Amino acid sequence: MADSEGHGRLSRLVGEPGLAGTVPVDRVVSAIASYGMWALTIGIIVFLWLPLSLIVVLSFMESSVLFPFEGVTLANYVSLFTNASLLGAARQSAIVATTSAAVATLIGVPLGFAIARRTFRGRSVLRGLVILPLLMPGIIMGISLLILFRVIGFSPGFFGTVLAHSVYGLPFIVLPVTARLAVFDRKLEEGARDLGADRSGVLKDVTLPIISPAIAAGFVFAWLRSFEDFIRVFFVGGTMDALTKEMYGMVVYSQGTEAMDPMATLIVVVVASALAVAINLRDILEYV
Amino acid sequence: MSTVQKLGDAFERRGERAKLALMAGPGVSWLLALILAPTAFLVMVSFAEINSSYDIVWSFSVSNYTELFVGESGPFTTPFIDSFLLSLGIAAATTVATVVLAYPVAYLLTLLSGRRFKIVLFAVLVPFFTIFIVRIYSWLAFFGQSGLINSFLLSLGIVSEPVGLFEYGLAPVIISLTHAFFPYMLLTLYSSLEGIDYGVIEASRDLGATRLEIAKDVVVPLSAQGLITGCVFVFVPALGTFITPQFLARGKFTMIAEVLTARINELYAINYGAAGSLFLIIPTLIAFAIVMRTTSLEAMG
Repeated sequence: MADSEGHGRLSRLVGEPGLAGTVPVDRVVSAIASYGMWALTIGIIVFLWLPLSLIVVLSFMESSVLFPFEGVTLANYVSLFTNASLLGAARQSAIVATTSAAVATLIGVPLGFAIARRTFRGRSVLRGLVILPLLMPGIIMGISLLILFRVIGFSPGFFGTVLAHSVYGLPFIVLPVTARLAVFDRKLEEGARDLGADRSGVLKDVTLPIISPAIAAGFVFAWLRSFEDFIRVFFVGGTMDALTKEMYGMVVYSQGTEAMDPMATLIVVVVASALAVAINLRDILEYV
Repeated sequence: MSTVQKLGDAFERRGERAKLALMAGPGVSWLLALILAPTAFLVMVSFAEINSSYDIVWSFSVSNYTELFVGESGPFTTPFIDSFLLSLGIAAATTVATVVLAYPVAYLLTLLSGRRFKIVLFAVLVPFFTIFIVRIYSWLAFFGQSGLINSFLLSLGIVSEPVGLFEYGLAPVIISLTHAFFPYMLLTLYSSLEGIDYGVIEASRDLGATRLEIAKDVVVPLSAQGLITGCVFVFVPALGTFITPQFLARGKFTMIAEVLTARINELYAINYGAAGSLFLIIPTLIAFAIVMRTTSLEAMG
């Protein structure tokens, strides 16, 4: 057999005779593979963190480059907290994200229930369509909505952005809710019914508490996707402020990036601490 | 069955229908009005013309498409074609890079548990949740003639003048896209690898398969679904990215999203923009078809 020949050859290479050698050889290969995987993983983690750590370091630097080193300062943070337009834009983006994620939740949870629990014509088409907002490039969504809005006379701005972001966030609500309902033990509901609970009581006291972590995770994702979006808000946001538009302007038109590094640092710190809490609280991978 | 019973059933069915409409109605109308209708309208506009007062003139014409493809020096020489091909190449390179980097890490994650698992997961997810524009921006300082990499190499005396590779252009765009989309690939690969029954791997080892053979004949085929989904979710957004080349190519080349944005925003050539958009819509639809064929939606949660 080719396999055992392969093992034999490997064994001879490291000087182990015959069959008795296969185990140590496999162990050596295992060890190399395992160290290799660890080395690669650590290398990748360094790759992922390197640019973000540089931003954090730069946010405390006197000059916007590392060399020559000119000293440590909090001046960048001062320029962030005195930059009214950047702070205003961040606030506006948070409002848009909260509204959009709330709308997505309100329409997405019932849709998830319909897809998971009901049988109707077009159900499989619908469950496919749900992922389309996730897959469609932002620029297509932005351009197509802009053109349609213009033609029907709906002017771009806050409401246009909320509409775009709420449909963008829909998959992040519907997918975890349907996934959760698919593994949900319906005997719990039947039990509650048998014990005399009415329909709304079952929903409120049994079903919703069980699926609420999925809804909460979906809300967070939908919120983040709205908050970080640039291209949709660029097209359908009109003259409305947005954090990403402000940041884009800072970088591309070089309107001074002193406030950019501290802003990015704050975002990294908030995300890191929120995630540390979430990972320790429960297995969030379920909802990604 | 008595007439009364039949009537009662009919009412119940109608009630069920109304309930279903109430549950699914808003979501369905959202998808129809904000995804399907605008996209269909965009395709229609791509065959229309624009008059001097920027109104759409509904006359069937393919002139928007010929304008995309036929340049002054003959067919297929337009900047649009260049941008489209370049964007395809960049998206493909990014996809390959994320697969190569993510496979071993995803496999390692399936072997870990407890604290170690949480730490690796945390280390990977923080960059993922840090907003996209910040992730792309964070590479800015590394590149350029006087960027961190070049000034580091210069100060060590390894090179005598800035290296072109580390100036703004292709390398920074692909590196930052790989950085930004790596977690998508990792998470989809991880969830498909995690589903593999470890007994199968042990059995193939007992039957004498080498590690490489196990990887090639067992692990990769069994995780193919996750691999394909991951590739789609990296390739499509990479193809349509706008911010990345704006920040890190700095005018050295333009990707397709930049061409479309310039046409629509600066020239208000929505018909031309619509025709160009089709070259992002078609890959999206292909990707959609692939995902539909390979992925069960419960698995996507």
